[in-house]
Amino acid sequence: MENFYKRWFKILVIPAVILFFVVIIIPFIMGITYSFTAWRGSYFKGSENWWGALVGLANYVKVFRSEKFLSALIFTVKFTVVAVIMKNIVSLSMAMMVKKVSAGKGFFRTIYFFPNLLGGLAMGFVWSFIFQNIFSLVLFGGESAIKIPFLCDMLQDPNKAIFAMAIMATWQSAGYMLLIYLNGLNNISDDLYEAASIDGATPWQKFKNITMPMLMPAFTIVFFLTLSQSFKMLDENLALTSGNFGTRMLSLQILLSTRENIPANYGMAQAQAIIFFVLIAVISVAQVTVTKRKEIEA
Amino acid sequence: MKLEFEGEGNYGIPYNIEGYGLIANKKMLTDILELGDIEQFKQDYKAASYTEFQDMVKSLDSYIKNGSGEDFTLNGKSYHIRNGKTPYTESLTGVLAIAGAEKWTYGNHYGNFPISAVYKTVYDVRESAPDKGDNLKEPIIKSLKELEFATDYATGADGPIERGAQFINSTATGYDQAIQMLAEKKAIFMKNGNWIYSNVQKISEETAKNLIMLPVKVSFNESDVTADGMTPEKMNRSIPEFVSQYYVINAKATEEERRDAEDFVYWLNTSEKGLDFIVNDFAFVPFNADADTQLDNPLSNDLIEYKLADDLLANPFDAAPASWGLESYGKYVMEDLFTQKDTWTDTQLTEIADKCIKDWKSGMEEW
Repeated sequence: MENFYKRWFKILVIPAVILFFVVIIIPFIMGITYSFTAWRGSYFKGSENWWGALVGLANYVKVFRSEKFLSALIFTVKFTVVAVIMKNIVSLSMAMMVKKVSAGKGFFRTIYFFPNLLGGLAMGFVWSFIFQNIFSLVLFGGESAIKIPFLCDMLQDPNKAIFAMAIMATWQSAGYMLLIYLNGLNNISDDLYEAASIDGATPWQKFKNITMPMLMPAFTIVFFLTLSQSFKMLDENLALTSGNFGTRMLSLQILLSTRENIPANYGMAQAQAIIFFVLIAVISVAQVTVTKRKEIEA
Repeated sequence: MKLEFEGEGNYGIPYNIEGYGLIANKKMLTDILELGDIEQFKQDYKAASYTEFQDMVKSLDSYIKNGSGEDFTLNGKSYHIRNGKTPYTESLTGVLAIAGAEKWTYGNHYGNFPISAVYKTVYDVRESAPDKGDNLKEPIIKSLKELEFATDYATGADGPIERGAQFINSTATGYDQAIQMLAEKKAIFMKNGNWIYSNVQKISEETAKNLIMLPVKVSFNESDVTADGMTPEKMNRSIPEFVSQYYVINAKATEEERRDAEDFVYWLNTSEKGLDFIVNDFAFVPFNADADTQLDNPLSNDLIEYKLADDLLANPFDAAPASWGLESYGKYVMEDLFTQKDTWTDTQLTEIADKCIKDWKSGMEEW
């Protein structure tokens, strides 16, 4: 079978390559091109074709001067920092707990993974109800005996909203990250822990000197996924806050910027998308490079 | 009515007419005010001033809370409120159903009133210099004070709802919830459009049949209203009514396709079958409706009445800088005012009006 694939590899891979080009590469190149034009979505301002509508760096200059873009960028960075930390702590803690379970591991893995199956919009509306009603009126406000103002009306304050969105995002993706961490934990030999116990290591010392270093390959993947997911969040942002109270993230900013001019300035929106792509690419590559250096082979 | 036009430009046949105002449950009013019918009330209300409107709302609020209220006048004529609730009025929790969580209802539609005080039509907005936006200041401040008054008498699901975090809770004061409160007889009035008839009908056929369209009262005086040919009196007896969309034919289509499209639009708007579709199946208000046009939707019939009486405001908000209603006026109202229970100060309102005008002028300059 292997010989068959080796022999026919170039033919078999053609459909995937064509699809990749048509769906990813060509639109990507067109997008970069249009970001330098006065593209209005269904026509080019001042010309029948794109080369007659080139505006140089004008779209990019407008983007960097746009207060809305810059505040969306700052909010997105703040949210990403909080969400990445929260997702990693929660999913790693859950993975370590599940590892200790002797019976029903599969059941717990399944339960924790369920939220990941929910779509972003639906999840946003569900959590909007939870934050506005359950948290604010039943559990932590209203007539509740335990009043925690920070957990009330979380969607109406930009700082509280960061944590609200992080709670929701963690609830959704912790189960998925748990599977990656659990796999990593299962690959750490028990001999190492045994040896450490014999040497009198405390649980914290074992975690710091064995678990963390040995888990770096999993951490690289989880960190990369949580970082890019958090940066790119759109559906949940739209459903949860619609960008009100200064909670507009970059993806939503790109989407809404096409409605903030008549006619819609798609050239400028595309410039925002390119900047967005560059930011995520740079941060992700930097993160993977740094964390990969810390990986240890067992 | 074959399509005829000259020269370049975009032309269209109106899709339908729609309009909005203060929708009321007439049976609720006749019950509370012990009236035989609603017609005199409608005429008096249309001629009434904003102060009389305020007195009416306060009296109705007192009736809802205490079962009695003081007499009030509309157009100088006295109206008496009955003593005690009736089976029809006992569910009332507030005077006005307000969709606090739905920014466009006040950002766009309510924002249209201060804009109409300065600009008569969409063309007026587009053809005016950006600096004309400075005339919006007083109308915007007064419209915000009107919103403050209205939100002091807002309906909630279980009782009156106060301004604050819950006032913009999308699960409590969303668009559908506000319509539900009107349909379930928890509110007497709601600012909305003729299109809500079918939504109300799904909840209560009886309420739907009793809906009437009244003008939204404004508190502008002569110096605030600078639009050509517009007066505060006309604004107070009129409703915004406009064509929301048009059929247009693509100039780049083939000649045959253009001819077929023209034939279709002509047939739809002139043949018996086509008009049957428009009036009965689509439940549209035809743009060429006249005194003989009778629709199932009582709100649409009221729209035709206003059209024939020329008690109309236009839709200059549609020509506002893109998303001004949502990301400027509506945003400041939702984030800065609706969440504030305490009285809105003049300084606050002036600051918001200044920000709205700044956004308006910079948006107009970009256009």
